[in-house]
Amino acid sequence: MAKLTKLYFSDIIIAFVFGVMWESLSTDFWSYNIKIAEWSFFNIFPIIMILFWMIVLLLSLFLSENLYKTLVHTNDIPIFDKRLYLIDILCFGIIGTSLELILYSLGGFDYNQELRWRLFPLIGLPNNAVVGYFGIGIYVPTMIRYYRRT
Amino acid sequence: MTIAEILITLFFLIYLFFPRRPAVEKIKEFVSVSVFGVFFPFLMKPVWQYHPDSWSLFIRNIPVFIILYWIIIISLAINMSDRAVKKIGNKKNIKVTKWLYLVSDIAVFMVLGIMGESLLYQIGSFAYMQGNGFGVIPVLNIPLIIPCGYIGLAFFGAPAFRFKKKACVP
Repeated sequence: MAKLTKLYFSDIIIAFVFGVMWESLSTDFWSYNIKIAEWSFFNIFPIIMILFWMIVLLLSLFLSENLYKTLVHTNDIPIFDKRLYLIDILCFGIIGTSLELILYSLGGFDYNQELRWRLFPLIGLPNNAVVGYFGIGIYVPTMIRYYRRT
Repeated sequence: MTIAEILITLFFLIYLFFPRRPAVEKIKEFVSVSVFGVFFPFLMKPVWQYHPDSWSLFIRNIPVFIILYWIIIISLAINMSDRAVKKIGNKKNIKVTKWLYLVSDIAVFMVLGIMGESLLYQIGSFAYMQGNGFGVIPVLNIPLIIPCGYIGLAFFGAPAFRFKKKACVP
C-alpha cells in the first residue's frame, strides 16, 4: 500500500510540475474566463488549469496502462514498449482533446485570435492543440514511468 | 545561405563528426529525435517571430534550418549528458542514478540551449513574441522563460528520447 501511495504521489507531483511549466510557456496562447483566472498561483497560473493538466495526464496514464494490461495480458508495465507507446499516444490524444473541447465549450478560455490558428475540422479546436495532445503522448508517459521506477 | 543557416550547419557537422560513433547509430538517433524536431517549432510557433531576411528556406512560415536546430541541439545534449554521467560515475565512484542523469541533463540542456538560442537571437534571426512578461536574462536579453523551457525539455523530454533511442538503436 505504501509503495502504491508513493507511486501515485510521484505521478501527481510530475503532473503538477508539467502543468505549471506548460502554463508558463503558453501564457499568450489563450485568455482565461475571469472566474477561472480568479483563483491563481502567483496571479499567473490558474489553479483550475493546473488541475486540468493533472487530470489529463493522470487519467490518460491510468487508461493507457490498463488498456495495455488488458490487451497484452500482463500485469507489468515496462517503461518503454512500442505497443504501449502507441496506446499512450492514442489515449493522451483522445482524452486531452476531449477534455479541452469540454472546457472550451463551457467557456473556460478562449484562443488568442491574433495567432490565427487553423481549426481542426468538426471539433473546431486549433490544429496545434489537437496535435499537441498527441505529441504529449509521445514523451510525457515514458518520462513519468521513468521517474516512477524504484 | 544566411549566417544563421551557416551556424546551424556548423552545429550539424560537429554533431556528425564528434564524437566518432557508427554512422548507422547516428542516423537512427537522428530519426528518433526528428519527430520532436519537426513537431515542436510548429506547436510553439507563436513564441518566435522569424526574420525573413535571416532564413532562406521556409515550410509554412517555419525555417527549415530551425527544425534541424532542434534535432541537433537535443541529440547533442543527450550525447553530452550521457558522456558526462559516465565520466563522473567512473572518476568519482558515484553510483549512477536517474537523479544524476537529471542533474546532468538539466545542466547540458541549459548550457547548450542558451548558447544556441542566444547566438541565433544576437545575430537577429528571430524576435520573441511572448515570454517577456516573466523578465529577461541580463546581458543576453533572452526571456527567462526560455531557460525554463530547456529545463522542462531536459526533465520531460530526455528520458523519453533515451528510451526511443534504445528502441531505435538495437
